[in-house]
Amino acid sequence: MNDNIQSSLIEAMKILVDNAINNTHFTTSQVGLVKQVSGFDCTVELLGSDTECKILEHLQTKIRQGDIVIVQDLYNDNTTKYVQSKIGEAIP
Amino acid sequence: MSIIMNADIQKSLIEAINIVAGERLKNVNFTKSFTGIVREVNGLTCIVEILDSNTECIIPHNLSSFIGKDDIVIVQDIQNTNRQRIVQGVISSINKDMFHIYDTVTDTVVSSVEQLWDEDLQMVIDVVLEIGD
Repeated sequence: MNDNIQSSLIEAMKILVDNAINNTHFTTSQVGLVKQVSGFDCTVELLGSDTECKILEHLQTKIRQGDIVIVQDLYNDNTTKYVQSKIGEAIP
Repeated sequence: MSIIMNADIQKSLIEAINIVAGERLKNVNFTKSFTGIVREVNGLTCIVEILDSNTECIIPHNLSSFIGKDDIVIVQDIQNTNRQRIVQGVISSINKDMFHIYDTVTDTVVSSVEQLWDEDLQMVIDVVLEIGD
């Protein structure tokens, strides 16, 4: 096989594999900063953009503005994100 | 020398890659999440209805007082092995009225209760809560 075909094959494989990974519904996690809390919902800054997240019942009274939290995207599709735990507080 | 692949070979190559990638991904130990309804609580395990089938799940110690029947919970299969499913927490309940016990000293929710239980009589007690001035 010549080099051109080989490299386009590898390119094609990368695209297919990336695509397959993007379509899996595994849970992904991120760390973010709580901007606002309202009831069982809150706004968390994740990688520079504000995202709406659910707060679990047992964490509701523990999550406040300025907290650093772990947020999980349940199905890796940006539809259902919730605050999994609080790991710290931002220095005021 | 140059080789021009025909469409059939290209197609089956793409298909083969998809199959191999899909199989590999099935065996990756990522965490997988589900939401379900708690049907029964037995100590530190509970039965959760997930996608129409009942699954036994583990309740972490720190959550034991928060999980009750009819709660809607997030459950995670932490290793994607279908063996250990852990309850992460409650996001809602199919009962409309939720009753939380709130500790004003420590400023925390201690427990969520939908039903009171009498240990001596071994039965559910119905109470009417009246909030006065």
